[in-house]
Formats: sequence, C-alpha cells, structure tokens
Amino acid sequence: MEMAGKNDELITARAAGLLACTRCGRVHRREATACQRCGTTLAPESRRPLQAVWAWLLAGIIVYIPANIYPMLRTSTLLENHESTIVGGAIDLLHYGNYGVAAIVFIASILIPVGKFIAIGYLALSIGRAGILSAHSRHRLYEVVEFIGRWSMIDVFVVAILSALVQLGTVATINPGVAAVSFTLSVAFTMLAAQSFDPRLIWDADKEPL
Amino acid sequence: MTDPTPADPVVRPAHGVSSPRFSVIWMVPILALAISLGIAWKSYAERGVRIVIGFDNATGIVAEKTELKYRDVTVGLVEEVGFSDDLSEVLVAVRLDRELAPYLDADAQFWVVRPEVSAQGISGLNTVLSGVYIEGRWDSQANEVQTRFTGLSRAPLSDAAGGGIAIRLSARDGNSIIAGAPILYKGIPVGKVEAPELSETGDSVIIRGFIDAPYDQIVTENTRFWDISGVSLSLGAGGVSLDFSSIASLVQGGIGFDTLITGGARPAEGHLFPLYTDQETARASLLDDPTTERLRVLAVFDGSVGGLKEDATVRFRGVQVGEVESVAMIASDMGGRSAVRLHATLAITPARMGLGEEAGTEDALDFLASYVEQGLRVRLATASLLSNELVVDLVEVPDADPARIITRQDALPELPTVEADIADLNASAEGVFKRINNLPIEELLASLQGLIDSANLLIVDEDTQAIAPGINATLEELRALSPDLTRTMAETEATLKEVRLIAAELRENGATENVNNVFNSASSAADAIEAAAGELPKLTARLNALATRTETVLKTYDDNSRLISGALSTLRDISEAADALRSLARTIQRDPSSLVTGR
Repeated sequence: MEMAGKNDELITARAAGLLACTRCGRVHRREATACQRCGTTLAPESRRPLQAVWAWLLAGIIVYIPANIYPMLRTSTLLENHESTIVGGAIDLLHYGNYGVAAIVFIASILIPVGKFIAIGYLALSIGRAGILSAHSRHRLYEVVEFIGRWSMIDVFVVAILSALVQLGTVATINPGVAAVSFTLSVAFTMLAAQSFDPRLIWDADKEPL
Repeated sequence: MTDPTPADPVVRPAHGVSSPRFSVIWMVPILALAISLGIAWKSYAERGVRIVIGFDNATGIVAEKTELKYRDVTVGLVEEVGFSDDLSEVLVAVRLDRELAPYLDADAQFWVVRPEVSAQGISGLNTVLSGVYIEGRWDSQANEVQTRFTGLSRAPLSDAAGGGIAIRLSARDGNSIIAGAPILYKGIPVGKVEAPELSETGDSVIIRGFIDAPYDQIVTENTRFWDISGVSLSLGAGGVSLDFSSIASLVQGGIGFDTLITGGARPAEGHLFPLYTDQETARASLLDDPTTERLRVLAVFDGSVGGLKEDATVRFRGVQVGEVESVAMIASDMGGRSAVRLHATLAITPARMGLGEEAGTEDALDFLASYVEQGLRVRLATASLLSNELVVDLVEVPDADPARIITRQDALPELPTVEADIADLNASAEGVFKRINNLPIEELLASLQGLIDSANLLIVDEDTQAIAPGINATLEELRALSPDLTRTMAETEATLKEVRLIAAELRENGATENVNNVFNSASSAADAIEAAAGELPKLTARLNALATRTETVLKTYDDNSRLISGALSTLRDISEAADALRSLARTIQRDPSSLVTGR
C-alpha cells in the first residue's frame, strides 16, 4: 500500500489480483461477491455491461430523432397556433434577440445530448484500445458526462413549467408536444448508458485485453 | 502487535457464468425504435393530403398560418406558397385533412376570404384579426379525387347550404350592374349576381346570378327580370315619380324579378333569361314568349316620319301589340316621278292581339286581313303631348277607301296606311280657338249698340234738354259703371294678349314640353273671356235699366246744361268702349287665326 504513492507505475486492482468495489473503491479478493464496507454487490470487470451501454446509448439516439423533428411546444393563442421544435425554438429566440436564452437552450438541448452520445460512444469504443486520450482524461470525460447529463433536462423543465402555468383557455395555451416526451426519454436513456459504463474498464483496457 | 486482519470476505460461489451473447438490455433500444417508428407512422397517417390551389394573387396568405376552412371549420393549413412554372399564378399548397380528401372532386371551389366593405355591408370582419383564410366548398359526393384546383377570385354566389338556382341574364350592356349586386324580390334581397361578362358572340352581356333557396321556388320559366339600377324618374299622368329600390341597388345596381304567370316549369340550372330595362317593359313583355314567331308586316308612309324610331310602339286600340323593327327609306317610282317613301317594318306579337297563346303568324295575318277589309289602317300618331315621339296606330277608319293587305312574293305583307294624324296637338289648339270664336261677343256688341242708340235718341230728344238737377245721382251711377266696363274691356284685352302670346310660343316651340302649360293657360284664358263675356249682358242690362231711368228722370226734370254735358261725356265713354269692343269683334270674326298668328 505504501508503495502506491511513490511508485510511478500505476497498477490496477485487477492487476493486483484484487476486485474493487465500484461504489466505495475498497478492494477485495477476487472471490468476494459483496463489498465488506458498503455491501454493494461486487462484480468482476467484464465487457458484458458494455452491451447495456450500447443498448441505452442506441435507445437514447433513436428517441432523440423524433425529439428534434416533432414539436416540443404547442402554443395556441387567440389568433394562431404555433408549434415549435427544439431547434426552431432556439432560432426563434435568436430572432427575438434573446441570445443568452437561445444559447442556453441550444447548449442544453443540442450540444450536451449530442456531446454525450459522442462521449459515451467514444468511451465505449476506446476500451481495449489505446486512444488519443489517456486513461486519466477518459476518466475525467466520464465524470463530466455523468455530472452533466442531468442538465439536459433543463428544456424539459421549461416545457413542463410553461405547460403548467400558461393555461389561459382560449387566450393562450401551451402544451407539450411529442418531442418533450422523446427528449425526456433520450436524456434518461443516455444517463442510464453513462451509468451502465464501468469506468474500471478504462484502466484495465490499457494494460491487456480481458 | 498484529495488524488488524481484514474480515474474511463473504465469498459465494460464483454464478455459473451463463453468457448469452445478447443481453435483455437490448430490448430497450428495440422498444425505443418501435416507439419512434410508431410516432412517425402515426404522424404520417394523420398527415393530410396535399392539394394545390392556384390563385391570381395570394394577398394575405401566409405559409403555415393561413387555414383552409370548410363551413367555417378548419380542415387544413397552407404549407407553402409558390408560383407556377410560368409565374402565371400563385400556387398555394394546402395540407388537407385526410378524411375530407375523397370529397374534393371537380366541383370543389376555393376562394380567399378577406374583409370586404361593400354597399351591402361589411363581411369577413373576423379576418381582420386572424388574417385571411381560404374557404373551400364542395358537395358531399365523393367522385374522382383531384389535387389541383383553381381558386376563385371572389366568393361564389351560391349559398353554402347549396339550395337555390343559378340563372343567367342576357342584357344589352352591363353598365349598371356590378358584381355582388342584389337580386330583389318584392324588395327583399334573395340572391346576387356576378360581374357581367360578354357573351361568346360579343353582342350581348351575360350576367350570372344565383337565387338562394327557398326563393328559387318563385322562379319559373315565365319569370321576368328587370334592371332596377339606380334611380328612375318618370313623368306621367300621375305626376313625377321618383323610384329607387334600395341604397345598395343605387350604388351597385340591382335586379328585380317577378313571376306573374303561374304554371311555368322550373328552369334548368343556368337558364338564360332576358334582362329588361325596367319593370314596365318586363311586364309588357309577359305575353312575349321569345320563342314564338312574330308577325312582320310592312307599312309604307308617304309623309315625314320624323320621330318614328326603332322600338316605337305599335298600338292596336290603344294596347301595345308590337314594335317597330326598322325604319328605312326606299326610293321608288311613282307614276313616272321618283319618290322616296318610308318603309317601317312592324313586328306584331299575335298573342297580344287577343288571338290566344297558340296563334301563329298566319292566324295573325288572316286576322289583320279581315280587319283591313273593315277599315283597319296604319296611321302615325304622336305618343304624347310631351314628346314628339311617334307611335304606329292600327286604327279603324270607318269611311276609308277600300284597301287590302298587299302580299308579294319576296317581301313582307304591306298594310295600307292613311294620312299621318299628327292631330292630337292641332286638335287641342283648334279647340281652344273654336271656343274663343264661339264667344257671344257679337250679340253683346249688338245690344251695346242698341243701348248707345237709345241713349243717343234720348239725348237728341227735346225733353232731355229740360233735364232736372236730380239726374245728378243717376249720372254718378253711370260714372261708377263706366270704370267697370273699361275693366271688363281691359280684361278681355289682356286675355287676348295672352292668347296671342300662347300662340307665339306655340309657333316657336312646336310641340315642346311647354305645350301642356300653354294649353292649360289657353284654356283658362278662354274661360276668362267667357266669364267676361258673360258679365257683359248683365252690364248691358244694367245700362239699359239706367237709360230707362235716365229717360224718366229727364222727362221729369228741366233742362240743365251742366248735367247734360256730364251725361254726354259719360255716354261718350260708353261709346268709346263699345267701339273698342266692336273692332275687337271684327278682328276676331274676320280672321280667328290672327289671334294665333299675330298677323
């Protein structure tokens, strides 16, 4: 243990013949099935959870398509009905001069989800290969993805709040569109994909194939 | 000191690693795919049918905003607005509800509803706020489906409910009618007309109209339509009548109609009706079935037919039986010297002559032929005192020379004519002068003469010399009488002056619009003369009585030269008055027409 700090050479738990708890980080003998500290079920690193990552990711991407095609908001006022998609809404805001809000919507609804797809896809693909990024960077990317995932819901919250507040009968009504549901699903699926990802694989993969 | 040894980990035998190649987790993306596809399919299925409507212009039409409405229910949305390849029209692509698509066949009509301010009111006001929309109309029959339509420039006339009848009106010109003008029945708007358009041959104007249900029941093939545009001012026996049907028809014209003969069949859609210029003509035309043949005859006039125009009335016993079709001058050879005669072609409707509905031209000609043998002649007459328009009268002249209808091989049958009777006017004028002539002026003057004579005798008589002063009062009376007489004279003179004036006016104007007044005043002038003349015998009687009284007075009283001279001067006055009357009488007697001619 004392070597850990001094040795330049990092070794993984697996390399040491141990099994790390994915939750608290305590290492156990490889035979252990439950963490002695936190009781988490221990599972050896394997590529099997990767299937789940791919599956959730794919599901997230699939539902992200209708989320962008179909209207997010249905605004009915006295005079007209208006339906706006995510991108359309952002562009409308841009036209109205609300650059800040437009940027927030664009980042939260387009950049973050798309970035997450790419990031998760990259992470999943990079396992077992020496990638451009070091294991450290990749781990940091994973942390960021996990952290930022929930912020994608900002658009969904806006829609939910607007739909709840603006119900003025014939004068003005805002209803969520089909895209709101698919967007929520997409965010949820990508979050699940990120969670399904076993970050230990990042480290193991560098060394040797499983 | 022992290091704390870690607790023995719980070790369970590892699960048999059953490693299926595919995890259950793959169900999730499959499900997601299924949902996405489901959404896609649903929206595709719900997506309407795209139809394209061509308009001349797309005022107010906005893509993704302008709606298509059917009976005021939104059934579609404009998807895009573009141009046809040759830029000749604006193509508006509309996404129409799927379930309505089968009904859109050839009869579908589309037009743009805009706010419109017309003489009849404001329509489409709701579009001021919401923007224009496209209104569509189609029937409930699903025929061959179409997706390309041509939009109308304005709303069609027919009602959305579909009830009513489309008619066409044939008019001479479309001056007075503009699109949207109302069709009125007893003053109630029951339909509308479209803008007049030229007929295919270009010789008349066709106006399409639509009469809404249930008023279409009134329309039969016997219905007559007439133009009630604007104001009609007519001057007739009943005075001046000003007539306009409604403010709307004043501005944009209007069409009235009535069905005066029952039993006509319901006309076919788009039946062509003639449009008459006014109600009178329309009513007069009731007996005219445009399909029946009219009898065309020729009337040849020697004299001037100034004032006889085409369409002039042909009257038979005062009732219109036809019109003058044409007036032509034809040079002909009359016994060696050439002459120009005027040929008027008369078109006579047999039915109007009381020959019944079925009477043909042959029947009418036979009828006329037999009538001509009884003395029926064609004669020109003035239509009224107010105009110099001529009408053709078929009159019975009892003592006419025998004549017959001349029928020739290649010409129209010719009716015999008699001298034009431009008499109405002359007869009235003559009547006035006759009455003036018949005044008992001569007798009056004779009796006046007698009076004067007796007065003369009286004065010459010796007894008169011895007149008494008491005669004074009598002479006063005489003096009072004298102005009375002169006034009467002056009145007569004024009347005659008036007559002369009238005559001058008559000469100047011929038969102008003044004639009526002129004759009225001529008549009253004659009356005044008559009244004046009526007073003259009374006057004479009084003078006679006075003279008798004077005689007795003179017999009673002695001579008084002053009195005598007074009486003499009075009598001289009377004599002068009588002279004037005499000369007037002579003038009138010698030449009554001098009153008229002034010579």
